[in-house]
Amino acid sequence: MTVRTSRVDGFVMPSSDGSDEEWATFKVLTVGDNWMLEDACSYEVQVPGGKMRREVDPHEMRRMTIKRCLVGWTLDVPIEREHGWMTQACYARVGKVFGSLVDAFADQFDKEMAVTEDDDAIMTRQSLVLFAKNSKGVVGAHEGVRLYCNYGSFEDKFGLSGDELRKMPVRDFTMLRMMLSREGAAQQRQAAPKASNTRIATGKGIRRSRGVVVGR
Amino acid sequence: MPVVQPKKKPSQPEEVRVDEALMSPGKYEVTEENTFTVDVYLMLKKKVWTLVSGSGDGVHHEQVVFRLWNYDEMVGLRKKATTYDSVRRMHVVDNDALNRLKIQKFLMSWTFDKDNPRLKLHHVGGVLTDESWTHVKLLQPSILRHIIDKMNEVYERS
Repeated sequence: MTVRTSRVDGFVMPSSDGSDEEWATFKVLTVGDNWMLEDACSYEVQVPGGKMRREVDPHEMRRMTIKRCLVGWTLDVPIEREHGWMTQACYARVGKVFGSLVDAFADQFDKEMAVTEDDDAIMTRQSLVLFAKNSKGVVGAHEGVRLYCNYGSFEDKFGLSGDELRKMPVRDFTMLRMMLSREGAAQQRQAAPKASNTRIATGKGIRRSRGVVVGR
Repeated sequence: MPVVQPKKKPSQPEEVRVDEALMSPGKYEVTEENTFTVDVYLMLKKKVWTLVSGSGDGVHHEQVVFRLWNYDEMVGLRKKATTYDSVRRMHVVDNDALNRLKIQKFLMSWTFDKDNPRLKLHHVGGVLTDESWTHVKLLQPSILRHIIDKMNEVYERS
């Protein structure tokens, strides 16, 4: 991730038209990481109806993601890691770095990991072609469509073990989930209309309605 | 019978990492000295102080000094200003509350007190006192809005 910076009042700050550049390296956020972080950052809130619901604290999640995924950067605060996490002593110094600068790196990382609205629109468009009757596939398939087709054929539609799933980048996993919902929607559209539940009593017993209305 | 008392062990000093003890803060680490200044240019027009864009005849130049925030402080304040909207089922950051917290924690000094020592800003535990916060609140809304906007140009730069 690269962030353009400039000096303001003698301090380095992120600036889209800055003359300098700083970069940071993040490890890919896997599904396993994401589950673990969500678990660590979630808390219970009350929703209407008096029920309790677990919600993820977005700010803490972001901080934990940095602890988990930031591997190195060009800032003069060395990143030290142990057992897959940033060490406590290291974070004590990272936490003292100018907030907006760290936030700029986190923003870049989020953008890289997120499935954008553009991605969503392309996948929706291509899934209409992919799941149509007599479909012969999609030309110039989106990354999500390609992932879906590959995993679908290789692993008999997500016959992935939990371990394999945990190692999958969370972005890929999200796209697969989105494609699954598209497939479901397509199947619903294609499904034959349901037989009527209305029963007609005849002299010889009971039969299903044929849906014909007489006398209108 | 005399009892031999165990020797008192000298108290162990807290372990300090040698590398950290030797290193001064990096150029990206925020210290108390890292401040920025918001310039406010004001002119009295028809008994009302009006914001103007720069210095000139009859223009008063005031300065408001803020300390930069570090990442930990930023996350802490954002968490404090965030509430959970149980109807929409999402977290919402209350920007007014966040601005208030930023001012209370990071407003270091201003020049509004040069003619009126009553307006001097005081801090307790690194936070503005209630009296000082009241002085901030009593500023003309347009002036305070300008200060907040300029302050956020630095804090929300990412």
